[in-house]
Amino acid sequence: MTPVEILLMCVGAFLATCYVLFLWLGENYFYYIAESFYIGGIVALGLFSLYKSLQSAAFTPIGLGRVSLIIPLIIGLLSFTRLTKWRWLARFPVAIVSGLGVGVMFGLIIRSQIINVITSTVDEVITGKPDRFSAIYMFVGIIAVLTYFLYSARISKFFHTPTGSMRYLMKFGRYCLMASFGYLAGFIAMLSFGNVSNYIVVVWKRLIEALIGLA
Amino acid sequence: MEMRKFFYAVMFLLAIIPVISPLALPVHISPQTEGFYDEIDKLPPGSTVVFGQTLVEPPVAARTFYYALLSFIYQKDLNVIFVPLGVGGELAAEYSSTYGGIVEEYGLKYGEDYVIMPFLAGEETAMAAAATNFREAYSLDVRGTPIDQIPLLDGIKDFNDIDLAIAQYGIFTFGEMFVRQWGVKYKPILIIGQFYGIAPYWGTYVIGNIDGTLKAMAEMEYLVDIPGEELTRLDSQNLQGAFTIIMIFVSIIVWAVGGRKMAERLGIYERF
Repeated sequence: MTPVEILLMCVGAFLATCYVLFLWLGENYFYYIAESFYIGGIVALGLFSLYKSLQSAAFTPIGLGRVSLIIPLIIGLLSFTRLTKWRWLARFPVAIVSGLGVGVMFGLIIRSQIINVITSTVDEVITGKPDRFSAIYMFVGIIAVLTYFLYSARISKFFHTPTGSMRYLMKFGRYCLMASFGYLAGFIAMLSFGNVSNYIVVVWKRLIEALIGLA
Repeated sequence: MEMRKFFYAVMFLLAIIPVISPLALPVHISPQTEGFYDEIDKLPPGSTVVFGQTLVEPPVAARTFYYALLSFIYQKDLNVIFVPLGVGGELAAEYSSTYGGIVEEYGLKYGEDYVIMPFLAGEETAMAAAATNFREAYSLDVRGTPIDQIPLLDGIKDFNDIDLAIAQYGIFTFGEMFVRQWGVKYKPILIIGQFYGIAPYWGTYVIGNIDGTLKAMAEMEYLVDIPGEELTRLDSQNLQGAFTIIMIFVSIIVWAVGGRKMAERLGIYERF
């Protein structure tokens, strides 16, 4: 690792520490400095990435004779007409991208997100995969959660009214939903712990190792 | 000291302990990570793996995980085609494919053992284009070499010609896109990204998953026996998680015994 890289790591460690100080000191000037550096850095990295991507995906192939790529490039550039008085031209890229996107995904959504989910749920009950309990729990859970989202009064009164004969199924569906929300909340909490570990390991441990290596 | 600041200080100290003195806590391998490992492990040498990435910046924080994963792939003598699908994905692919001197370590040759394709715009449309007609979607690699001159890409017309696809993403909606365009249309894929987005497809279109969390990445490092920073960070995270759970129970007990007044006095309850 070169001295310049280590110097940059020191600057990074300083900025990261400025961020962490927010926990103890609240909003402060060090935090503002780090925030501004971060935003500026992200914008610079984004522009550089964009330039690299345009170069390899468009400019170089066009320069080597793949002239047909000029058409999508022009369509993409039309997006920027939104900043001019010819803003109506920006509708073309939006329409083309939306149309292509819908066309590409439409049939596959029905197949993967509706038909397959139903068949695999039933199939798992029959074959007992991954295990018998999980398969049955999944099957009952899906039915129960679906009853929770029945909004038609005629159909849902059995589930949603206090005296409805199927109200326990709806309650079970609610518990299943709460369990999934709990999972997501725990997931986010774990990500937050990861941030603290990141600060210690990614910033300081690497810097100390680099400094030891330099010495 | 306020209870909140005391909590931060303890969390900070707990995060430092495994860095100073590695704890090597036992790692439970989840079925998803095991599936990921097994699918790569059973590929015969010389197989071709497509690595689709939607990263927008180099994966600096998780670099030892990528090093472990790619080391495992190259130990198996597999070939990798990096397919960047996010702006900045080219830089990310360059970084992850060369970090840690992996190229020199395994004697890799660009174009024969691995190749990086240029960024393809359009997200799901780009995924579909790359998979359906590879040679139409790309004419050059990221270094400007025509794909006809790249030995690794000989005979690859679409994703029927590749042996395994790995998809990496940060935003969970990308998971469904990968599943639709690669998993449903061709063959089941491996995913590096949050599991909850692709859980309905588990077992059919997705056969291995490294969850976006630290735990799954650490599991992979453990499985391939190349311990890195993820295992250290996992130990640190486990200590913090244990402390948080203890504090939650302590708070519940304090609340139950002394009510809100005692909780406020001790600083474990704040009015907003």
